[in-house]
Amino acid sequence: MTTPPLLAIRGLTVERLSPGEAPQPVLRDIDLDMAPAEITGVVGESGSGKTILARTLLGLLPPGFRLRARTLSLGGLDLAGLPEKGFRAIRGRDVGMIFQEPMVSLNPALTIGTQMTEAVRLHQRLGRAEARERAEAMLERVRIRDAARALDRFPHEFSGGMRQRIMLASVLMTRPKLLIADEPTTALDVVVQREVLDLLREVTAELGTAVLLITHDLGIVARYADRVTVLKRGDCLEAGTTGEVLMRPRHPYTRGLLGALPRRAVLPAPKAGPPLLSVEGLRVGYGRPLPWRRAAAPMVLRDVSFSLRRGETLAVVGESGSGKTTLGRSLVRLVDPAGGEVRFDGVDLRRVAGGALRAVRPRLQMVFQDPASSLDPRFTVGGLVGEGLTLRRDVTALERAARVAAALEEVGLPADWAERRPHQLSGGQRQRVSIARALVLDPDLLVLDEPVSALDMTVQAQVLDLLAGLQERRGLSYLFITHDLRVVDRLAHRILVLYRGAVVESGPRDAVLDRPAHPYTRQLLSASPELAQDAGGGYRIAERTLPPPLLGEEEAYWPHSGGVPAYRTAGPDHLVACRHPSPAAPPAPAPTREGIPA
Amino acid sequence: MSAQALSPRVAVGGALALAVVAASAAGVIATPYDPVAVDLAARIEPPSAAHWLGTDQFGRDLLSRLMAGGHKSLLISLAAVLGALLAGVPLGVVAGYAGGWVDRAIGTVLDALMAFPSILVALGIMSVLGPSEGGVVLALALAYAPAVTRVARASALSSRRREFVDAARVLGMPAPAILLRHVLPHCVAPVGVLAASLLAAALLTESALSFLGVGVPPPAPTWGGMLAEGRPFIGLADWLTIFPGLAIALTLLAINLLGDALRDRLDPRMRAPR
Repeated sequence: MTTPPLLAIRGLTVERLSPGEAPQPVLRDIDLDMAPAEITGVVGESGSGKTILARTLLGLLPPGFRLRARTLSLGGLDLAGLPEKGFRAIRGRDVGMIFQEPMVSLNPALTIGTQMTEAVRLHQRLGRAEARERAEAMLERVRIRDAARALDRFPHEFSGGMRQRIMLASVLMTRPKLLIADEPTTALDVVVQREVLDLLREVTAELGTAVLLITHDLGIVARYADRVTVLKRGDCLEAGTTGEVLMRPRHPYTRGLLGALPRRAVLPAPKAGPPLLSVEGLRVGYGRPLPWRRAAAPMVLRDVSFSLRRGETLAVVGESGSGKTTLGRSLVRLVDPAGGEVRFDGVDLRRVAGGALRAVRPRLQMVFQDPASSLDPRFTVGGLVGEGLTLRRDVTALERAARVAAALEEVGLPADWAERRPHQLSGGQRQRVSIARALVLDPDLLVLDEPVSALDMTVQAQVLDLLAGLQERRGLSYLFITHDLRVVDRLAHRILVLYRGAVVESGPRDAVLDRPAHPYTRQLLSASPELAQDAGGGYRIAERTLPPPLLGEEEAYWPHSGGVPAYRTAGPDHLVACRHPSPAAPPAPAPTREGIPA
Repeated sequence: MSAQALSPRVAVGGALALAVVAASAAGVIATPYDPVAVDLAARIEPPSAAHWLGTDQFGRDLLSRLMAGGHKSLLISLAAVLGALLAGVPLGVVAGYAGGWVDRAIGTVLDALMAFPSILVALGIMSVLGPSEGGVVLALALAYAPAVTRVARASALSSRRREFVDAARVLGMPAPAILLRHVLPHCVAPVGVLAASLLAAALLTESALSFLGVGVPPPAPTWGGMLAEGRPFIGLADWLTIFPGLAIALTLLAINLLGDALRDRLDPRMRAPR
C-alpha cells in the first residue's frame, strides 16, 4: 500500500445527456484504486455501468455522455480533462483493451503479424523486423505454437480461444500499464476460458500490468481477482479484497448475487415406469443425405443413445461444436437424423411425417437460447404465446385467450401483459414468454437449449427456479442443453457428456459430478470455477476435489481418433466410453484442443 | 408520425405528387380541349391565354395532352410495378425459405434475366409483342420482377435463419402458414422501399419506350411519346419538349423524395433504439 496507485479514481460520475431531460447518471461517485500487477474484478449485471467505466478510462465515451471526477489519474496523468489527442497517445500504449468477442475484434482481412505490430510501430516507432521479433516472442509467451508462422496467418485460421490469446498478446505488445478486459471469456467454453484466464494472470503478473477484469461471473472474480468492486445501476455497492467481499459480503445485493449462484439441489425423483423418450444410436450428418452421395458424410452426432423418464431432467453438457444443440434440434425434428431410432412415448419420431408429425409436435416443445431472436418482434406477447393454439381448430378464440392468460400466470407474468410486445420486456421476461409459448400446448417434454445463458445471474436463478417448479407441478421432462455446470447442479437428475459428437460419459448427476470417469469430464469439471458456502455464510473458491481417475488417457475413448466406443459401467446407471479392447486401433493421442491444423 | 410528416422532403414530395395525380385524375374526367382533336389552324402555337402550354404540330392542346398522358403514364407504371411485385414476391419468398434446388432453379433464371439491362429486356419483349398498352405493362413487369425477387429472397433468407421460424416449426405450423405469418411480413419494408424506386424507373422506362416508338401506340398521348414527337421541332418550338420533360422530371422528383422518406421510416437502422 506504500506504492502510489497506478490508477486513482475519486468521485467519478458519468452522466448521459439527452435534450429536454435531466442528465441521467450512468455511474455515480465511483472510487477505485489499482496497483501495478493487480487484478481488479468489476462485477455487475447488464445496465450496471461496467462497460461505461471501461470506456471512460479509454476516453471512448459515446457522444452525449459527460464525466466529472475529483481525481481520475493514470500513473500521474490526469485523464479527466485530457483531450482526444492525449487519449490517442495513451490508448494502446499505456492502456490496452480486450473485448468480449474475439471474432470481431481482430480484423479478418489482415494477418496476425500486421495487427500485432500496428501499435508498437505507431507508438514506439519500432522497425518492421524489430516489431516482428517482439510479436513472435509475445506469441510464444501466450503459448501459440509455431509463432513465426502464426504471424503470417489470418484470424479465421484460429479457434476462439487462440484468437483471444492472440488478442492478449497483441495488446500486451506495448507493455501497457493497465489492461481492460471486458468479459474476455464469456464467449468461450469453460476449458478454454480457464486456459485464457490462467495465461492472462501469468503474463500480466510478469509484465507488472494492472488488469481491470469486467465480468458478470463471480466464479471468475473469486479465482482471479485480487480486489473486487460490485456495481449496480451505476453505484459502487461494495469494494474490497476478493477474500473480504466473498467471506463477508456487506451489501444485500452482493449477498443476493452470491446467493443466486446455482447450488446443488435435491430434486423430486422422476416417475418410475417406461421411459418417455428413448434414443438409440442417433446419427446426424452435415447436409442432406442424397442417394448418389453414399460417401460417409462427416457426422455431427455419432451413435448417441440415452433415455429420459417422465419428470426427469437430463442435462446435456459439452463445449461448442460437441453437437449438443444439434441433438436438441434433431429431437424436435428441426434437423433430420441420418440414422438411429428416437422413440417418444411409443412413437418412432423418425418415421412420422406430415400430419402425424404435426400431431406429436405439441407434446415436444423447445425453448431457444436467445429470446430476442425466437420471438417474432411483430407479434404481441399474447399472439406469440397463443400461436400454437391457433393451429387447433377445436380451440375457440375465447378459450385461447384464457389459456394464454393461464400460461402467462404460470410463468410469473401478469396476464394483461398479453398486449405488450417483446421489445418492451427484459431478457428474463422474454424467456418467460418463450416458456409460456411452449407450456400452452401442454407438452410432455421440453428441449431447453441454453435457456439461461443470455441472462444475468439473478435472473438466471429466477428462471431456473421457475423451471424446477413447473417440472414439479406438471411432471415435465427436460432435456437441458448447457455448457454451464453450475446450472446442472441446480436442475439435472442425470447428465450426458458430449464430446465431438459422441457420448463420453452418462449417469446420475452426483455420480458424474463427484466421480467423473472420463478424462474429458474431469477436464471440464476442473475448469469450471465453483464457489462454496462456508458454515459462516461466507463464500470461497472451491476447487472440485476429484477422486483418482478410473480411466487412463489411453483407455478412454476419444471421438476424434475414430472407432466405436465400448461403454463400461462406472457405477449404477453410470456409463463411460472406453476404447474397444479388440482390433488394432492406434493408441489415441492426448487430445490437442488448441492445436494449429498442420 | 408528426415529426416525419413535417419534414421539407415529405412536404415538397407530397405536394408535387398531389399536383401530378390531381392533374392526371382531372385529365380522365375533362381536359380543356380534346387531347387528340386536330386543329390545323392552330399548329405550333406558343403558350397563350387560349392554349396555356401551346399546341403541337397538329394543333393539339399541349396541356390537355399532358393531363391525359399523365394519367396513362402513371397507370401503366403502377400496373407494371404491381405486376413485378405479384410475380417477384412469392417467387423470392419461396426461393429464400425453401433453399436448395428450388432456390437454385429460380436463381438461375433470374441471373439470366438480370444479365441484361431492364430497358433492353423491355425493348425485346415489346418488339415481339408490338406496341400496345398491355404490352408495355407486361414488359416492364417482367423487366423489374427479378429485382423484386432478389430483395424478397434476401429478406426471407434472413428470416428463415431467425429462431422464431424454428419456434413456429416446433409448434407444428405447416410451411405455408410460416411463410404467411413469419416470413412474408418481414419483407414488406425492404420490398416497399424498392417498389417506390421501381415506380420512378418504370415511369422513365415507359417514357423511353414511347419515345423510341415501341411503347403506347399513337395518337394516344404519353409523356415519352410527346417528347419524341416534339423532338424534330426542338429549335422551332422548344415548349413541345420542355413541358413533357418537366412533367417527367417533377414526377420522378416527387416519387424519389417520398421513396427516400419511406426508406428512412422503414429501415430499422434509421430508427431510434427503443
